[in-house]
Amino acid sequence: MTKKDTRKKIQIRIYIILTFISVCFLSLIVKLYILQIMEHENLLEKSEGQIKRIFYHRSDRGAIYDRNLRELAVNIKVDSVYANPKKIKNLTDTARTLSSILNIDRRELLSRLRKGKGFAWVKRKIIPEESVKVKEAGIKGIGFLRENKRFYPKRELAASVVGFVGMDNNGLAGLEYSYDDYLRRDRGEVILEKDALGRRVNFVANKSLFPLKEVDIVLTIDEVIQYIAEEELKKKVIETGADSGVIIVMAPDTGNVLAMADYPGFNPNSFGRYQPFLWQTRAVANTYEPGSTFKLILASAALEEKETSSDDLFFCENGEIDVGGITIHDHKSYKWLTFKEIVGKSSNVGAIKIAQELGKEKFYNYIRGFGFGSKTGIGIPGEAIGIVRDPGHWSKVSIGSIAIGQEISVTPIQLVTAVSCIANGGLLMEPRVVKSFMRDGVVVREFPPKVVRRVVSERTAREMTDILKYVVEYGTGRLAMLEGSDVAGKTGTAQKIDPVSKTYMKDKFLASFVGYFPVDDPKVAMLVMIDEPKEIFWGGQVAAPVFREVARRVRRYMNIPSDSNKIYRFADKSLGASPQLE
Amino acid sequence: MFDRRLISNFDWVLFILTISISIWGIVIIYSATQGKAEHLSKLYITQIYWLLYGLLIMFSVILIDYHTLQRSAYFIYAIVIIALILVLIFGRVISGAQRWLTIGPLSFQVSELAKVGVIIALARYFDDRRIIKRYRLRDLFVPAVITMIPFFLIAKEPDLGTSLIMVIIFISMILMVNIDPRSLAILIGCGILFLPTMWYFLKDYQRERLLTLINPEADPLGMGYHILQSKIAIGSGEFLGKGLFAGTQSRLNFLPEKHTDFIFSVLAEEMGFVGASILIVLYLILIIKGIDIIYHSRDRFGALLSVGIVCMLTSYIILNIGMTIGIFPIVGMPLPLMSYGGSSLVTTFIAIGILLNIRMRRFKIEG
Repeated sequence: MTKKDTRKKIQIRIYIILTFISVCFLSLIVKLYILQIMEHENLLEKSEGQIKRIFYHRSDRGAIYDRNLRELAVNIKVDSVYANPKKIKNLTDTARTLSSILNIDRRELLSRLRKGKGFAWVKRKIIPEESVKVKEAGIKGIGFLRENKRFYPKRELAASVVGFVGMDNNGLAGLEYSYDDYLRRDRGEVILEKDALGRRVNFVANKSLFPLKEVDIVLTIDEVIQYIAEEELKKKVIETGADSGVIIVMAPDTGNVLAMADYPGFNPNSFGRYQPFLWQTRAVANTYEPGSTFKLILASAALEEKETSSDDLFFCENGEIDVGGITIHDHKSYKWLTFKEIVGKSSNVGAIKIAQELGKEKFYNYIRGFGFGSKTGIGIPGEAIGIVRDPGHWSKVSIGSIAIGQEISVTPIQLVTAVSCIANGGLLMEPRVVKSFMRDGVVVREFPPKVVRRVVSERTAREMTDILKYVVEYGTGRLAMLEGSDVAGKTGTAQKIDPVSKTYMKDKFLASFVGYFPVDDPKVAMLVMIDEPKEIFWGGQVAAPVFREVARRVRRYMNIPSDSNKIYRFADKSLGASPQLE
Repeated sequence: MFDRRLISNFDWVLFILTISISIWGIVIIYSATQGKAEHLSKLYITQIYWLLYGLLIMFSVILIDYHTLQRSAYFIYAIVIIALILVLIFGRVISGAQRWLTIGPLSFQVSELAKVGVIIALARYFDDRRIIKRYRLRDLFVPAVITMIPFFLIAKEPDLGTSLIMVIIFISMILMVNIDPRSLAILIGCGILFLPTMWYFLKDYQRERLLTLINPEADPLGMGYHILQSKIAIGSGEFLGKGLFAGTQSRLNFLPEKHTDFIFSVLAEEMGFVGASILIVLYLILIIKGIDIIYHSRDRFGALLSVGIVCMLTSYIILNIGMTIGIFPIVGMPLPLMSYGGSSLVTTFIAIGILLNIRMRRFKIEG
């Protein structure tokens, strides 16, 4: 082998090595390209995902006022106690001392102290007395933070409408929940970087900080009217041994809810102590078979369709009628009654005959027209739709049942909105509880009254008012009669359905009265519902007097003038004298 | 002793490349250790001292003719073996491995230096037997023993990465001398048979590392963590990187061993595809320079010595970068010249010093 050959051989070997190494290096670059360019998006996302932490900056929560800017929900500064367990010498002793001062579970506190590394809440939002005691105890490693606590100065007042917030001031129920985004709107994002151990490291950005400020919410509810409604409702529910009750007071021309009372209610400052079902706004969330109050819907439809006039006579079959094989009775047997009398005396037989004449399609259209079977859009969470089946699904009995307010379920707010429609001359208004948004005492957004649609003509509405006035003056609603103002209204006494057997119960009723006043220019529409009163259960006897009492006090509060040419039938209302039923 | 040609044959390109990569490394070390609440923030200064120290040793190495190394090859080898034994007896334990020998203020990883010792010893051995035209298996017994003694001593520390490099050095050097093709075939066959058996000798964590390579997402917070975080760091860099001193993965401590074994990930995150590619190309030029020295070395010993050194450097570079980008399993090994660590830096400087030495003396020196 010559030297040259060896040299050549080595040369070849060197080239092989060179090629091999170059291929290796090239593949490194290729893989690098795949990672850095092709998979970049994915990997960058992962990187940011594990680094960035977004914190929300929250300002004070907006207040909630009644329509005269009386405070219903405000913030107060309170102390929250926290601990740095690392600095506490004796955890067991500390837990014992704190649990006795703050009235919390000792063991639970101890386990929290043991788990928390550098920080553990002891108790948040404590009352000042507790705060003083904890400070006096002077335990090392215990600190205080000032926090905003939501406070409801009027306690139970309008609680089910206003709702309440959780520990971090996030809305949990009522308007606090549905308007949460407005009440604490200015959530600026603060983006921080955290390191692998989860420690916050760098401040990165203050995104969209303060784009929209929080607002105070002004309600349409009037604290005084709300108070009157709640007081009268409570009185009656207790007096009659009823389960519960609802009163809604509405301004018919605007759809403004002036009061929305649910009894029994709860104190939102300590909502946790109440059964969750009490937190509900039953005035919008519960559905009921309305019973006879629904006859006014039927009557309005019949009048509007010119099927009949208020003086037309109907034969009332001596109080018994057969509809699709089922016999429906009147509470009294009638022979010939005018249209007006049918409504006034609340004859089931008459109503069924009117409905049969009207026909189910037209009847259905008016039911939907008055807003039944759809949400009113009042903006209170948990609003129910109710059940209104379309005529295709009606049985032979249905037209008779629905005519007298059975086989259909409605919410109180739907019913009072429908009555307001008749009261204001035929326009269905969207009911509302929020009047405006304010910031620093200046209105920043106004919610004007909203007309949903015209349901009946003004003429029909006027005729209906006449008929409903007759109901109060001569019919079942006489206990609603008011000194100084004519009242239009309709009573309802609905048998309740046993949820188990699905049959009507003989001893469980929903007594209601819905009406408005003064009849010439209605300022107030009101629904009173007393659920399952004991012994006396007629709407005219249970609900109508509540209507009168609330109406009387509201009229005085609102300074609604007396009807100019009114002849007073009652000498002295203050003694509580009331017209006697026959 | 001193000759003009020594200077005229000095490989300035290789020297400047070495210094440049080292300085670049210090910049990246600085960047990787400047996060908040960082106890490592002064490490870059230590590395600067190591660099100066390394330069000093490098020049000493250059001054001594490499034939001196040839003469004292077995002596050097013996010292290395004794030092390795001492490490196992007195060595300092850091993160579960006993790798450091402390002499006065200096802590040194003997295993780093051992590789150079083995290369010198093997080069001497093969050069002594240059008459053998084709090496048979029995001729390879002694070099195998020369390699295996430090291999086991280092594997016991444990330092799997360095042991592995030792084997690679051995293989590359026997490939350079002429081996009987049949012997080579038997060797390869044995190697293939040996690999599965190796599995049983591996420690549990080492097996997990291999499995993790196949599927790093399976256990993102456990074994897969290193590889995943490294990939995230590199991948988030994109074309031009997040900018020097702006890498979040390293500065926020998501990347483990960021200033040592995963220094490349930091660089790739902060300087992007461009920066990382430039570094790889610089390394490639450095290696090509080394191969050029192999080719042009004056004698067989020089060629063998440079083959060992070039293979050592190459495998470190490829294995380390391959590990950070998920091609190879995670074996703790530094990136030469870049990673923080005096032992590695000084050893690399010595190795490159030997290369420069061989290159300088490729012509016969008068007198």
